[in-house]
Amino acid sequence: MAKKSNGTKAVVMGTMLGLVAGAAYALWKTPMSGKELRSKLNPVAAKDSSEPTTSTNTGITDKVMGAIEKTLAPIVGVELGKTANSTKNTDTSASSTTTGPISATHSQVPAASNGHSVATHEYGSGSIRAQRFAWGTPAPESVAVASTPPAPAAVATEAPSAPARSFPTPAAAAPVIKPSEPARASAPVEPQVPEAAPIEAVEKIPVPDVPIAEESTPIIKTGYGNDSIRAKRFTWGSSVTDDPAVGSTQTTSITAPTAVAVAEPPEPATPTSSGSGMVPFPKLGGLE
Amino acid sequence: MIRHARTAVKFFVYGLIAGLLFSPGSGEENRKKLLDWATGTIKSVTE
Repeated sequence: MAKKSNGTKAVVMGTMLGLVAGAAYALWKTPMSGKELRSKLNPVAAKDSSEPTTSTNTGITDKVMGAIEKTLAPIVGVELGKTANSTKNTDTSASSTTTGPISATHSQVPAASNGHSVATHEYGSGSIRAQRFAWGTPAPESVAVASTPPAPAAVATEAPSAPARSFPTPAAAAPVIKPSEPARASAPVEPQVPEAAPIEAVEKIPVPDVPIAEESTPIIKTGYGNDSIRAKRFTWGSSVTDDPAVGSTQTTSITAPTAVAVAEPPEPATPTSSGSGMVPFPKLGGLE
Repeated sequence: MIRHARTAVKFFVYGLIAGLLFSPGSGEENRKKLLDWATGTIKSVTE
């Protein structure tokens, strides 16, 4: 244990001394400042920071990185100077010379080995996944990609010996399948997605009929929400009236077995024994 | 012993690189600053 502790101490001391000695020697003997040295190594960053560069030549790092990119580009399958989502790739991918076996911008599903053709999919901005539907907009009639005009008839005639495999679609359009490359070069066709069911209009909820009570109390046929019975506020002693401020779209009607008019004004206050002055509840026929 | 020497040399190189990249000025300027600082502290101490 003592030897190990001594060993760690020695290592720590060695690192500290080494660092200090190296820094001191560098500060004593350096030919130029740190900023100048960094600008010389990376002139691009120096230009951005508006620092004067000592030399007009490109930095060592740029040369090294450029060489590495050039060597790795054909292996990885990336076109230098272009991005994966740029539209130019769709036109020049076939004629590009720097692409490798797999193109990052324009991939194609290889045909199956059993002879059946396989529908190819476009990746990138024209793919099905790239299609973005805004919530609330009606579903389109067809979800086919509109990047290129489809030519199903031309594809079917130019199909090679491999049989075409059609996907079931409700639409009457011919299946869009590309079994061979020549057809693809003339007019790339996208597989059609089955049509989405049209969105039906939401029907209004029917108003439930409230059963009439045997006591022949005035029942209001209303819906839900602001028109509900609970929403209605009855002032004791006043007649029931339909409140237009509620904003109900459904008609309200008061059904009563007796001919009690809704708009009847309250009866004049009759002198009661107590003499409280309150308006009595309207009399309902048949109860007396 | 040799292992410790290796680590020391290794970290000497690290310090050298860091000093070169982050030096405030050239070697001559650093020496002048160091000398000025040293003379100033010595004078202040003696006074």
